[in-house]
Amino acid sequence: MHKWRAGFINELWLLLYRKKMIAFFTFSVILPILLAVSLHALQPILGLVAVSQSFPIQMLSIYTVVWIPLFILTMTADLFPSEVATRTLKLAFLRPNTRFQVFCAKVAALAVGIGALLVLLGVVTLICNVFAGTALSFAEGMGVFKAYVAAFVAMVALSAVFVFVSQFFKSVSGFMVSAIVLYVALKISPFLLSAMSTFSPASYTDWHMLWISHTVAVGKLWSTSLYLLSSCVLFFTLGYYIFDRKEV
Amino acid sequence: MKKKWLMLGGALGISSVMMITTGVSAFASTSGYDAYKSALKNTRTIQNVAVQASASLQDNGNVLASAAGNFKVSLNTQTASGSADVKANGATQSVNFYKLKDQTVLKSSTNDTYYVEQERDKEKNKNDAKETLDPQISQQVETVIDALVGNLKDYVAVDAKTDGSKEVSAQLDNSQLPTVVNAIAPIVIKHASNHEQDGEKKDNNANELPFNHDVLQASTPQLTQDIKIEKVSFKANINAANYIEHQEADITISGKDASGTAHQVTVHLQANLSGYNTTTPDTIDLSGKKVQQMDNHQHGKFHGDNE
Amino acid sequence: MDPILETHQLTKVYRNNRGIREISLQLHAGDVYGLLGPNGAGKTTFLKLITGLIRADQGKITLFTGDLIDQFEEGMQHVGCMIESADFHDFITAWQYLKLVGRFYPNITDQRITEVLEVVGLIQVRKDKIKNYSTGMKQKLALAAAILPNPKFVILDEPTNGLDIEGTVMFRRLIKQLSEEHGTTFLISSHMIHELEQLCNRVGIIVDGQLIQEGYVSDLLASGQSLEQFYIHELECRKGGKESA
Repeated sequence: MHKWRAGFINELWLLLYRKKMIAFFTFSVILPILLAVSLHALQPILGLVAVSQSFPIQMLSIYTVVWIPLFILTMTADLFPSEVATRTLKLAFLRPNTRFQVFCAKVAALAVGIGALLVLLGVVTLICNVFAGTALSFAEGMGVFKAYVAAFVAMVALSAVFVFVSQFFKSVSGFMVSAIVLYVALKISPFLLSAMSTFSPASYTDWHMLWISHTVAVGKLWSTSLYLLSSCVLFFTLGYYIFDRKEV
Repeated sequence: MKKKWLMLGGALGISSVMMITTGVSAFASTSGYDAYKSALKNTRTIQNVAVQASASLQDNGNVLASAAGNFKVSLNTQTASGSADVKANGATQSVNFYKLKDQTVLKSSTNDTYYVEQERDKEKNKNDAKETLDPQISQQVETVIDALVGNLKDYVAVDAKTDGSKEVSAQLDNSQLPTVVNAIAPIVIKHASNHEQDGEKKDNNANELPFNHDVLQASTPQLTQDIKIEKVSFKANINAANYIEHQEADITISGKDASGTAHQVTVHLQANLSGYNTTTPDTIDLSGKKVQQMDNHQHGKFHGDNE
Repeated sequence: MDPILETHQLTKVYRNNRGIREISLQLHAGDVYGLLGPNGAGKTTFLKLITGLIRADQGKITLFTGDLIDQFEEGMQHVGCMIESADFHDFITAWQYLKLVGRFYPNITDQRITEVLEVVGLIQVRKDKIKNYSTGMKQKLALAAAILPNPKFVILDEPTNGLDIEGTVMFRRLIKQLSEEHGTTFLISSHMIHELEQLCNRVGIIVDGQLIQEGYVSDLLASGQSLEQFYIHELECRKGGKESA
């Protein structure tokens, strides 16, 4: 356990040492503020509520479709194909930890990254609400919290797919291009085959919306939660299977 | 070593079985969305039906305007008839209309004139062509809508009753509406109210209309800021024969007018359907009545003919 | 006494038919074992196998007392190594890197990190990003990381590649000191035959993936041969043997 923690902490440090990750986080914080300010400025023209109570959820919906998947892609590329390309994977392998621990440490770091991004977004948007005079009540806040937790699950499930895919690539650019194409294809696929809207983990980027609804059946939420969790397990296991057999 | 492969295989096996079962159950479970879609498709196949519809517009709880109507529609004979009452600012207007095979007749309660519009052959043909294309297009449209709705179709709850009928409902708060709708709707609402006012002025000279929908417009509060869709709710009853019997929708919009007064505007729409395939639209005998011909060279707008 | 490392009939053949075949080797505590061989003979393959970077087709590896694969964590706890080229996450500094490494082992203090950086001569540049390092500096850093946890067993693959003269001297002193003062066991693959002659007590020669000869350096020197003469002789014998066969 101590060894696993060391690997995990190291992955987190490496995450922080990468400049682009800091840029990612900074931009993630600035974007909602910029949006809130510019909407506020445009308010007389557009006539809409600049920062309404639903601002945290609206921003979340924007983030889960494009921004967080992009973050997942970048980070996955750094954690796997990039390490293969720069031959730094052996640095972790030669330490007294098993490959399972290395893999778990990387995945956990990725999950923490996603979580941190969501926490930042949630906090910043809620603060925007306070400044705009539309602070949320406790019940509304809980609703937002639930949605963010659900979004976290959906994003981790999506990252499992990308982690699995990344195992096949030895270069960052190859992985990035393929993964973006894959993601777009997964997003388009429900238009061609309606079953894909249920069976593709990429279709759950707006899943958090269901958790704030009053009319969605509880059984439905359970079955989709189980689906996402088992999809996580499946793709992480497949990813680990390939990772474990890597020769570096 | 063996233990590791057992664990791996176990994780793979269990997770894939789980994924398939939960996926299939989620896919197969008929949501309210699917139930409504199926009923809607089925209802569209009926040849004739009687519709009772009503709509109302409320501002901060005061009814600004309301409308109610009874219609009989027959698709196979391409005829329809009905009456509508529009109440606004305390004044009531009612309109009767008859759509016969080759002409449409309108009569307002405010005068005795029957306005008659002759159907043109061309337009008829166009309608026919449209209808033959319909199944294919609607299939594609359906797929696209399904994909856009995606997993949000679970918003729609369904309550199956013992007699085989179903109640389908959905309620969306502001935060549950898609971001795009939330961003664009207020702008549209704001601009729509302004534009229609302009239009009203232009049309003032053509005052001999059978009905005056501008009455509605005048009483609507002009929202200029803080516009937001508060709530959208929807309910439908589907009978055992899978026809839509009743449906209603409410849209609540909040905002402030130019003077800073807060408004909460609610639009309520509802419709009841009955007499599936047993309805015959009423006809009218125009002999001995005051008749005025209308020309519809300008789409959607009626102008009095030169007398 | 149990061997530090024991391989039995270790075989790994790549798709291009290169690799190693049936290498059986034993290292005892205190050994400084030099692995000699031409380029592409399979030295690095062997080192990767015994550190678990690649999987053997056949054979068994025992590190300390446990099977390498089954008890990887326990075994590697006491192993320090640098395999193949010295590669790092080049966006961090030497200091940051050693902090990362130290986290895996107990009692690695900042003082210990300073100590090894001083030993390898990188103390001045510890706050510089690794991407600005020369090959030799990276090599020194890899060496520093290998010895950081005070390992019982150190595996070094071409450690003097790219090292400057002082670096080479430092390296030789370091091995000697660790071996004599701490009884650290070393397995070093190198082309620098004079280096090995001075450092090692045992050598093994790998040619075409096979361990063709093994012996104590002291025995060789006693027979009046230098390690170089011995090595060339063995290579020629092998060539001759191949031709006559």
